[in-house]
Amino acid sequence: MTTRRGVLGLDPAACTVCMLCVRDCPDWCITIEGHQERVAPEGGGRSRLVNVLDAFTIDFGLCMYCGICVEVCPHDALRWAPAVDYPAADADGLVHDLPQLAAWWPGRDAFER
Amino acid sequence: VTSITADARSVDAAAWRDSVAAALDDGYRFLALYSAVDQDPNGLEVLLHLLDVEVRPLRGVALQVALPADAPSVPSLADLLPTAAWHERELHEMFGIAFPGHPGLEPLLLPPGFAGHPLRKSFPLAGRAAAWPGDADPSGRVRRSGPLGRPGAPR
Repeated sequence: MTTRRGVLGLDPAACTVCMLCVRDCPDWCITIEGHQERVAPEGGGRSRLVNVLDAFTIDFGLCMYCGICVEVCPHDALRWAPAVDYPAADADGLVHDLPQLAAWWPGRDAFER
Repeated sequence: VTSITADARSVDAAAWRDSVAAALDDGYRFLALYSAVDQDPNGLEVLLHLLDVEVRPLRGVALQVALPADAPSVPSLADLLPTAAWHERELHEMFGIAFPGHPGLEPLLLPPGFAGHPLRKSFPLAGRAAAWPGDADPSGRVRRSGPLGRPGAPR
């Protein structure tokens, strides 16, 4: 199994805002904001509380590329992507937001984990 | 390597520049160390070690000046000793020491917008002050405070 730890990609559709990656991150570089909505399933039935992802940031100035977030994610919403060239002029530029992380997403079948 | 602590002497802030100029005239032209120590609660101490590298074995002199913890200020040495300018920029950002006469005390090492003087003992350690991102929860409830195993975290 080969894993290239270049950058972390996020599949926003797979993230359920369970906060496991945030709580297991050893250097606190992930933040997630979300809220809950009550959704009635199509075709009837009891309405369900669903977590909705609002914001997801990873501070690559803090990240030590340990991969614990990738391993802990129960829905495989975080994956390593091959890009290694994402320099920034200042420390704030290393904080990648939800659209940026989604752009890094390598695809569900792109990599072995 | 020579022992320079034998020559260490404490100088008044008012006589600081004259003492350094006299040491430079005595041949101590090489700046070996220019730093400060926060002797909380007894104020700050600025240290200057100069070497004479023209002789063997090297000889050196150590000067120190005591400053108050609030609004510490000591005249700049940048015109006497050009290489002191960067050291004074570092002392200014790390300890908050003012150097009247310095050509420009802009931050040397700290990132733009950094607040505070991180080598002062009164500076809060970021690792203890930062909020744990895991406290956030989509339900709006705070489920626990701090990661498991963190010192001081409630069970």
